[in-house]
Amino acid sequence: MCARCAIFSAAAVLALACVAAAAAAAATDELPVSFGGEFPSATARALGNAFTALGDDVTALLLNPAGLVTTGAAAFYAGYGGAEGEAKARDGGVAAAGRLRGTVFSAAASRTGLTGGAAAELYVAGAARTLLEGAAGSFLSVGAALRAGRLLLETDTGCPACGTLRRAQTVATADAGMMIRPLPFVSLAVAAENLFGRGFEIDAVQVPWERAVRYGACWLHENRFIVSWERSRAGGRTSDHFGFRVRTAFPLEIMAGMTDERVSGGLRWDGGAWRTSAVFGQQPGGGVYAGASIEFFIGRPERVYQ
Amino acid sequence: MNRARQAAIIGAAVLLTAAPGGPAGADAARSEPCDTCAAFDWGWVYNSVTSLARNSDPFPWNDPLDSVHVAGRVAALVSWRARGGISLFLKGAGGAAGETHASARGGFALEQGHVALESARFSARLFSRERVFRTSGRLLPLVSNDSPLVSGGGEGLALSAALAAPLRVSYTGAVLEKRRTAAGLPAPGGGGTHLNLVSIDFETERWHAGLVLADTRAQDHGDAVLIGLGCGIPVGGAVCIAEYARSAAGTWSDLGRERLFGFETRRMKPGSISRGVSPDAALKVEVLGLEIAGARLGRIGLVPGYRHAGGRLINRQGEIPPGVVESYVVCWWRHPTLAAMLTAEAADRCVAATGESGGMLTAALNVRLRGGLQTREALLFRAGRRPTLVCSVLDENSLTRVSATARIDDAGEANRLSYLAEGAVNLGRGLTLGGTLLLASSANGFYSVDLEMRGGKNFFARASFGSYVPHSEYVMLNHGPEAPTIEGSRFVSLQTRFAFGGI
Repeated sequence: MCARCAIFSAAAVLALACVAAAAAAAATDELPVSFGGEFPSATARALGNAFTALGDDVTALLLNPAGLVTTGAAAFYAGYGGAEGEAKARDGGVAAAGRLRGTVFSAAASRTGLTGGAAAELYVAGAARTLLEGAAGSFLSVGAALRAGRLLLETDTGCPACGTLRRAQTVATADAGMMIRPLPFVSLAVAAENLFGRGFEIDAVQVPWERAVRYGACWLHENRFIVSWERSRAGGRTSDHFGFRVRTAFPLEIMAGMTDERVSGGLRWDGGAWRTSAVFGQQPGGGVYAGASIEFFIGRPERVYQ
Repeated sequence: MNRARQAAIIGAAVLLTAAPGGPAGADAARSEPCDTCAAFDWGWVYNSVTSLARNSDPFPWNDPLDSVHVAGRVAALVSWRARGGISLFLKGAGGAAGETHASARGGFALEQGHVALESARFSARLFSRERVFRTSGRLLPLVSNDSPLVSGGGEGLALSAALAAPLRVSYTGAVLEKRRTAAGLPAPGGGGTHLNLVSIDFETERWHAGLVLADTRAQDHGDAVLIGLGCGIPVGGAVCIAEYARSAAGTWSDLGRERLFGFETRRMKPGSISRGVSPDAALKVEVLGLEIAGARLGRIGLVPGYRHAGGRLINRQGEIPPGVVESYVVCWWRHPTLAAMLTAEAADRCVAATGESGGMLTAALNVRLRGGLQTREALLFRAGRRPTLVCSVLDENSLTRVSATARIDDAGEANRLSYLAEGAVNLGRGLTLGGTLLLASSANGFYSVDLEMRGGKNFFARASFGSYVPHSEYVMLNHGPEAPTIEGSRFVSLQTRFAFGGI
């Protein structure tokens, strides 16, 4: 690709990123009505969270640890975004993964800030391993992770001398997942988050953290496009997620997805050893989330079917 | 040139080329050996639509009036061309006229047809419901096939003669709207609306001029006449095109009762030219070809123009919206080596129908990159309003076609985000899977999925479902003054089309 073409392409990505970022307004704080589902990666958001069977980047740790096997020798991810509407929040997080003797180890941390000092933090560490490997990219992998959720609340005591009262609670739980690609272009997966189904209770404030079970399927057509579907169930509520991603003539990928008829989308520039994304998504309570991320890879496997 | 006019011209060109007996057909007939000059062709088409729509009433699939279960229509076509430029085309059809439950259904009857005689200098056509209503006007669509009066078609006679090399005279007389018919053709004394259209065109390589006279006799809406004049004159390296039209209710004597052209030059002043133009007149002036070019500079062009359409203009046979005054200038720059174009349009517009008034500035950068990827970034500023930002990416190849458009209205304040993603995958053997996702003004999300199958020229099937019916959202997001307003309508639809024969 010539330099001028690259400049124009980068300008296009930057312009869309600016468009998306402009849609996110300043955050204010509300008490979370539930915990969980925080910090999906930018790609997952753009694909309407239909990500369990895809495992495209290191943040697979958060939705399906078994998807980590697709990340290569080492990978690093950082993302940040914000939303407006009823679920006003800003979130940011980092994740990293490395391969050691056939097993991929990964860790991630994120913080979803809620104004007034309240925040939801997430710390996850896990590993994944390929159990069976077939020809032309078919495999069976499993993964597991330990997950710690930390909820921080600040309440106004009403006493000018005392100020605000800060309280926090940490809950530990575990995740597990499995991914199978019986054919190199078909991926099936199932994953469970928060296997113990623990929630938070700080004084009289109860914030549930529901167990979530996800299963999905994905069709990966060479290096050109993917179509992904996922069904998730948490707290008695079932959601369907759909997403597609198309790679253009440039290393520019167009993404779009839908969760419960809420639209999301974005662009991703794939520079080989690095990737960057600009995404947005409709929020459940109204408003729009917008975010961006960057990823770096070492020893990234050749993308034939992803 | 506005987009609607471009589309109309392209559509007319396609129709002219594709119509049996049109220029392409005539050329083909002339190029054939003499013993095969007479050609006969036939065909028939069956269209079927099976669909179910859902509205928001308590029962989810409650069969509203506009839902369609089966709507079929069959059409038979016959075409015959003989030596000497004589041609005949007939199309008969029966069944549902549209795709809604309330569509009129009728028995088999003549739907379209013509008998034509064409030569190099003369053509005559006896037609029924054909798209023959057009003039050579470049700026003002004085007569249009898609106008409110003409869109339903009509029956009549079209004559055209090239009297001398640059001079062509045309006449079209037609009976339109609510006429009494016999076997699909107008009955004598059947009433209805009569349109008589005369156009005289001079055209050379350097300049052109034209005159249009339109006389409408309508029982329902009253009589009206319209005169249109236009010319294109080379000025230096540019071409100045000016067109003027004036209408009047009644007859030709009513048009010339005061002043024929209705100009009051005393009231025309810089910045208020429209005061001197009659309210029942239309005027448009545009200068094309103001360009400079350089090896390193690329090409820079300027297109200034002025448009006035008075509030009392009667133009039912054309597509000139009344009550519009606009001054505009379009500036463009093409990169010397890259396929990139930067366009800026500044306009001062006043539209009586919408109350829109004030200045606007649109800047757009269109880039076509290697491999066919196209991007468009645009900014729209309007007086008294927050700006609008649009960014669009389009990629097409033999396997996939995808486009994504993001638009923010009221940027910096409400930030209403609209997003449209359209994708289609060629699955092979004429099978295409496609879908759209649409976020409308940060509020509502919609989707649609469709599967198309084509079996050569003879068979087409399309199964689709979704929460809205895609229409022209891509164009509206990219070029519209406002983001589209979508009304959700869940639907499942199956369309099939069978065609046989050579037409």
